Amino acid sequence: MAVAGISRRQALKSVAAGAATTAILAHEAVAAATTPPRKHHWGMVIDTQRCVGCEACVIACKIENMTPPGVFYTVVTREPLPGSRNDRPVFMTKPCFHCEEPPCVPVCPVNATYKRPSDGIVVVDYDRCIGCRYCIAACPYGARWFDFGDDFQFLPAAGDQVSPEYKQYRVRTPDGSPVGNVRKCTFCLHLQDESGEYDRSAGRWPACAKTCPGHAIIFGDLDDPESEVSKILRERNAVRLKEELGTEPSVYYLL
Amino acid sequence: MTLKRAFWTVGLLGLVPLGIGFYLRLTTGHELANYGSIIPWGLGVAQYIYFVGLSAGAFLLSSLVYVFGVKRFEPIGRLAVFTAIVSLLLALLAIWVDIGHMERFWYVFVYANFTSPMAWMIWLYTAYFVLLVVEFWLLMRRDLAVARTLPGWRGRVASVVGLWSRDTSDAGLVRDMRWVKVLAAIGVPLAIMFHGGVGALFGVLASRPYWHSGLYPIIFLVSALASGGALLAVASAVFQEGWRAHRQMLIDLGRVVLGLLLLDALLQFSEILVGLYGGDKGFVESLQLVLSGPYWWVFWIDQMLLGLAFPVIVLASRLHLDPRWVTAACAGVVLGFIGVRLNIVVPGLSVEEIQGLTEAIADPRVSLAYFPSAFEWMIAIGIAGLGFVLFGLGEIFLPLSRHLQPDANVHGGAR
Amino acid sequence: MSTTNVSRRRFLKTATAIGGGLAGTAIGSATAGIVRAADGPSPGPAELDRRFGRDAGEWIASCCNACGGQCGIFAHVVEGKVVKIEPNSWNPNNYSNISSDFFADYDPAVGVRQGATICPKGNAATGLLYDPDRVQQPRKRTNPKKGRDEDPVWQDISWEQAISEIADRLRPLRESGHPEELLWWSEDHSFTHPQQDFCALFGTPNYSNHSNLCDVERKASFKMAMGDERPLADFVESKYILLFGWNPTSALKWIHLARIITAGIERGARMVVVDPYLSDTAAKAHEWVSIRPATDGALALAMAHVIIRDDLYDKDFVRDWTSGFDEYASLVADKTPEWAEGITTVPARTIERIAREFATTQPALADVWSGPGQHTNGVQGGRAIALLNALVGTFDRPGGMMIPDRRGAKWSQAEPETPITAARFDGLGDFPFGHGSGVYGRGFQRLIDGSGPYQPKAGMCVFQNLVMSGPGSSKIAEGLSKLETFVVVDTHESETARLADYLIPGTHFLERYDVNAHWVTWPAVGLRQPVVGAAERQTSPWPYRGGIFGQMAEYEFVAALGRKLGLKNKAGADFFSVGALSGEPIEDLTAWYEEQLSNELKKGAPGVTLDEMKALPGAVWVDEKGTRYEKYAAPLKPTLVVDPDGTVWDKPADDPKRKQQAIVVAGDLWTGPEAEGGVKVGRIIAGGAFFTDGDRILNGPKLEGKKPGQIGYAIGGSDPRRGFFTSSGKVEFFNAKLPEKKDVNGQPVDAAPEYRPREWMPNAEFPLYLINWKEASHTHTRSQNNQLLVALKPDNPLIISAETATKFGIADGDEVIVESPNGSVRAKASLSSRMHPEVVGLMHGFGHWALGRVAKGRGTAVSDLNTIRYDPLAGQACHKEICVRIRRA
Ligand SMILES: Nc1nc2c(c(=O)[nH]1)N[C@H]1C(S)=C(S)[C@@H](COP(=O)(O)OP(=O)(O)OC[C@H]3O[C@@H](n4cnc5c(=O)[nH]c(N)nc54)[C@H](O)[C@@H]3O)O[C@H]1N2
Ligand SMILES: Nc1nc2c(c(=O)[nH]1)N[C@H]1C(S)=C(S)[C@@H](COP(=O)(O)OP(=O)(O)OC[C@H]3O[C@@H](n4cnc5c(=O)[nH]c(N)nc54)[C@H](O)[C@@H]3O)O[C@H]1N2
Ligand code: SF4
Ligand code: SF4
Ligand code: SF4
Ligand code: SF4
Ligand code: SF4
Ligand SMILES: [Mo]
Repeated sequence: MAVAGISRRQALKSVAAGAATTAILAHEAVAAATTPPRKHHWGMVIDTQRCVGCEACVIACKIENMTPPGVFYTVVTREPLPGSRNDRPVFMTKPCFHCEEPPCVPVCPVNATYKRPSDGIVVVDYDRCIGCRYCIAACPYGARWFDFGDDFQFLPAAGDQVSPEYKQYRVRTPDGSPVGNVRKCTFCLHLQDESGEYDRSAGRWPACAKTCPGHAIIFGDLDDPESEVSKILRERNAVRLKEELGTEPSVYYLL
Repeated sequence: MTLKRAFWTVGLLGLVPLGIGFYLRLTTGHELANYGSIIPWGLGVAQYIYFVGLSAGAFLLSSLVYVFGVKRFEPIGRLAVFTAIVSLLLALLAIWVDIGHMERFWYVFVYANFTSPMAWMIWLYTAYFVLLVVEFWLLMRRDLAVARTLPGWRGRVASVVGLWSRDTSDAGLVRDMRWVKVLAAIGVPLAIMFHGGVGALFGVLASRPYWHSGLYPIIFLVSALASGGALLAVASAVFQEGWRAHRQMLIDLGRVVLGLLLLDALLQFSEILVGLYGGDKGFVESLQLVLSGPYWWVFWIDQMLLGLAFPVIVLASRLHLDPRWVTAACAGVVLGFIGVRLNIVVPGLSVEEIQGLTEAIADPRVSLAYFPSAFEWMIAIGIAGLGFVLFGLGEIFLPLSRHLQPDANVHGGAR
Repeated sequence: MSTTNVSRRRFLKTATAIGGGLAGTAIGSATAGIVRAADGPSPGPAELDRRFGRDAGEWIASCCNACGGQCGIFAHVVEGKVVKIEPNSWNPNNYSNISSDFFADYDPAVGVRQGATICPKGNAATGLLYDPDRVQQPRKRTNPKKGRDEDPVWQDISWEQAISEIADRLRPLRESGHPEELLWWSEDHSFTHPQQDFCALFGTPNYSNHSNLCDVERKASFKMAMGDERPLADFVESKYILLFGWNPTSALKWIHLARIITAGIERGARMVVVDPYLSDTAAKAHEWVSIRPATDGALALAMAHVIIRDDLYDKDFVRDWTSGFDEYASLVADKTPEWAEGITTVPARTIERIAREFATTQPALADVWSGPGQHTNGVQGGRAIALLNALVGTFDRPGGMMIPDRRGAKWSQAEPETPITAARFDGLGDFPFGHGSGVYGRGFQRLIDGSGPYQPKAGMCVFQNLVMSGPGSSKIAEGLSKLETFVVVDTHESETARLADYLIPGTHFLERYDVNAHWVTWPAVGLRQPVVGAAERQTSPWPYRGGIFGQMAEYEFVAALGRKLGLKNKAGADFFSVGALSGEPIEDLTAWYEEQLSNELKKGAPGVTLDEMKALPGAVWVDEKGTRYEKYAAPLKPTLVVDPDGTVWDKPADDPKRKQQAIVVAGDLWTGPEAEGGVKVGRIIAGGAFFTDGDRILNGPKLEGKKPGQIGYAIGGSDPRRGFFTSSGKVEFFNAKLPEKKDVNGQPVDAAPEYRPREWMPNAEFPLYLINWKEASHTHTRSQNNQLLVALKPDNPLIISAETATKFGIADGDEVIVESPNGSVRAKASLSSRMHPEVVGLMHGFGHWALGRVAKGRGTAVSDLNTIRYDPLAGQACHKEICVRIRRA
């Protein structure tokens, strides 16, 4: 299935167009100069007490983002608490933490992954990423996934899958981005409206949080003192993982 | 000569898997690779740091000749620089095939992110590569100018490679060598920086306790020197009939390799001790994997036995006076270092960043187990084969082993 | 399309791109797509957003059926394909089973504001909808040999051929006067009514359904104790939650369970889970009580002992609303915690403590499901557990076990021209607490050994995988193989389907209709509607909507078959051709079913037509009156009207359709003057007229051949109340009449819930209990071909405690052989201290030898180790009663 807009873009991509390197660099400078101001700090509070380990979040995310096998923007671990009797598991869903100091970002040799200035979401520019996977090695939380081009063998064919990620609506082909790129949780930013807002009642909300049977994934703006996440963080003791690394995750856990 | 023929055979045979591997890479991308998202780097990256190490090591040894004027190693000077070039090319090939979008490799130049050790590394080895090529060209220039009169292909190639230079004067040579010295002198810190940079590339990752150590860049350097020296010894033995023509040099090289090897072993050992003492869980897990994981034999047989015990025993015993044993010992080091590189890349990655991560999902890409697939082996073996072929071609077309005129002035000062 | 071609093209493309890249560097040029937007990555053209984005296409309200839960969903349909399933926030089933909890967060514009939810199976539903392994075309068996391991050697046939051949094979049964020789098995919540109508009109009493595999023991337990089949736990308002062998936060059936349980805990409830395995639910509990399988009844009796001994029970409730307490107290007098410890392995100290906590933390509830309820002693054990609720008086009170309000859509069984007189093949009547869903096991046994009242010739299995989901795969396969004609309607080639003569493609739930009662405590009805369907159908003379392969929905198939057989109802009408509302003939099969549903909705509590239902937000009807508590105490208003002349009518005088029901004679209702053969059918109680039977108040006159339902209770002259639907109108600790009934083995039924060991106990040869369960990742045996779910749970390792593993020389990850007298299977050992040391266990559903390419050969089949087994009181299939030995493979 060829979608007009997409194949055109792809054609554009593989043809080396006229703009000179300097022009690109200049454009980068312009982009940098027009960096939008920080409007939000999207984050999550995940309540492990509420999480029942059902993994609905995992599947909802896969379907929302049409990710291939082997790519899981969030996973649910079920490890026993150290020292617990009876191997009693603690369920924990783990998306990307959209760290304030994300170690995955500085290592990228081509600036393909970066923290969005306006809302702190750590994104991957599929058209830029060369697929070196250095960022995977650098992420201390196992939140990045390489798209090997694998497809579900017994699900609808690759060409039928259009991923809404980044509102780019890429048709999956065996060799076009995001195949060959590193992928990760985007906080479902494609569900934001033009001005970068989510709308829960309209279903424009991270898919994992939206489906969570335990209501364990609480999403919102950490910069907004009135948001549910901010309130919880004020009222309860939340922790972040591997705090000692200084990554400052935007995802908190209630234990 | 038979050794050389064997080299050629191996090399040409190696091109077959390379061709197939390359075709598969272009048609199936990474689907056939066995690494995944938990262990995102595999044989390709190991091979890359392996060859990069060889390159830097060989180059640094060449600088003994061209910067520090150590005459003893003069016979392998050019060979060393050539080795550095070939190894670098192989390294770049290995990493090029390994990235997800081969057609975008050049983004690194236009969009370089200088907070990334990888970007630094790429810029450095680009500079290093240019420097190597120029230095090498200068080293050969006069011989090429002479060789252009040879009949047939060799002459024509010499003419082109020599950029049609006709200057065969001694003055020209002296001028060349002065530049060589300058370049080699620049090259030393460059090679150190760039290879140290490869170490840093791993070392900076706080996410990977096994790598995250200040010692990493230094270990990388020492090990580069050891492996580069060993490779040179082997190359010299094969291509320069080393064990007949440069007996003493080989023996000396053997000594140097021994020294470097021991230093490297000491550093590695202390690194392990520090890591164990620090008791970092991730580090210990990785180490356990190395020592007693499913691929324990890579460490014990390849690295320790073939790459360390055997060469140390040979080089520290009276056998070290026999250049054939030296060659064998150095070959052991060269092979052993394949294991070293694999054991840097894979165990460092095969620790869960978050406990239970790999059990959370049932997918071969979400796994702590990794063994290279046939496809990866094809590429790796193919690239090595290509190395053989490049060496062979160099031997045929380039004045690699021709001695320079024994002219005292050529090398200038310090000796 | 040849793969070589593709790869050549791809090779060239990539190679060119690389060349382009090289050229790019050389000339220092760039491509357009890689220039980064300020707050990138740059979105694609807006046109794509319009075409594929969230606002593209349609969001159609429906109900999930990936398991029996029927949760509300929205399906996003873009360009004719379902791309995503999301929760339906208007549907209480997706949020809470208590109306105050639901409405507190409810906004008519958006549903519950916090958002409703769905489980992984629902999220992954498209994985099965578009599963390439689905059966797309009717198939006919060509291999005459049948058996578990026989290849049917299918031949594809047309729908026309399938329906007429099946009709031709069924017709002789009716013509020979033995329609009862048709057996029918169906699922229990989807399109069951047309199937029941078909059976009734065809003339067979042998309609059975899923519940027999599921929870009829629990139904019987509660029915005996408090007269209702399916009370629902009010977790969210509870302060003490005690679960016996129930795994509700993982075996998520009604998705609200996950929320109301975790919310209950968050609001201060303490949760204790009694289970031999530290289930994923036990992982959420404060305490896991590890118990020896099938001994839960003993634990409950010992708890009762402590509660009564220490005088901790709710005196008012026991006095006013229970019967047989004294007898019960003397029964448990010697059921000390020490006594129970010996049986259950639960320390007496623990039993003492839990009993006291349970009785003193209010409100508390005790619930039980498949764990104890799929063993041969599950009915009385479950009854003992149910009675714990009576001791603390929380039945139908906030935080207790709620009596569901079952008003929903209303269906009335089609009546045949001639009443069915043949006995049920499975002898359901022999089971004193048997359930209308039948006794599968007994049926299979009788098929095998010919011991039934007759030998059935044909069978129809719809939406069931009997061979794997019933106990004793080999036996069940053997039984089914005896049928001359076996038809299976399934979406996949299940293990059961491989025994069929005709395999009819089923629809996926996204392709069909149904109305669903929801499992909440107040009336709520949701609509399932087709969200996709083929534009083109195969050539078939039957007019219908069709699924994505153009296949008939199950109800359309049944109706088509009914038409082919010319089945008529009592009024002589062609039942499957006549609209239920209009009474007019309807050609279109889909339209016919739409009218059936419309009729059920219109006559039922919603009182709306199908089209009106579709227009409701979320296509769900919710009774705004909400949850009512203590319904048992509610005064019963008379529905009968008494004229001054003593005539009794069913409706007020202004209703033209009113019919005379009785006459009043000296305070009693009579069908007529006694002299004219009138019968006494009721009483005037507290000034109102009621149909009665003793102290029970009925919804109709108890006459020859009529079985009116109990709607209330009035002792002597006391005010009529709803009461409990037991014979005494109260919760029954003890019922002296029970021993008059005999169980299927001829043993008298215990008047009180005595503990008796289950039938199959471990011995020296097979020393271990083997249990099994469901988890969130899969549904029974039907989801293992869904690659999405398989990524979550690829197989079912055998969980063994370290202690037991050492005893049998087994290490973690070992391949083990699990043997019972009935069979032997392989499993992967997983050592965990989550398992009771006398027990091994594994998740149910894996070990397929058919169903699809992903499922086949994955994991371990439980039922292979079992044999046909059903409990003697309710006839429940006993999946969890297995004994095994294990060794390293
Ligand atoms: N994801 C998912 N959810 C489902 C279903 C599904 O297939 N998949 N099926 C739905 C259906 S139809 C049903 S009936 C429900 C059933 O839901 P549950 O009643 O929860 O059924 P199970 O998980 O089979 O068994 C529950 C627990 O009983 C334990 N058990 C086994 N034997 C004993 C015993 O003798 N005593 C005690 N105390 N415990 C024991 C098991 O270890 C298990 O943890 O789940 C529903 N929900
Ligand atoms: N060992 C063991 N056995 C058990 C249990 C257990 O815990 N342990 N649990 C028991 C319980 S509680 C229950 S309720 C039963 C359930 O047992 P079943 O009701 O038999 O359910 P499934 O095993 O899922 O089989 C359903 C069949 O219907 C097919 N199917 C799925 N969707 C559709 C559809 O939309 N239309 C049609 N026509 N077919 C469809 C599937 O392909 C599959 O073959 O299993 C029981 N069996
Ligand atoms: S969906 Fe919610 S409850 Fe289920 S695993 Fe994910 S976070 Fe936990
Ligand atoms: S969790 Fe990992 S991928 Fe996400 S921002 Fe942090 S470092 Fe980057
Ligand atoms: S894989 Fe892509 S995003 Fe990650 S570091 Fe490499 S180029 Fe950057
Ligand atoms: S926020 Fe969106 S992308 Fe991230 S894990 Fe949740 S569903 Fe996936
Ligand atoms: S529990 Fe899950 S599978 Fe079952 S009906 Fe609800 S959403 Fe569907
Ligand atoms: Mo069930």
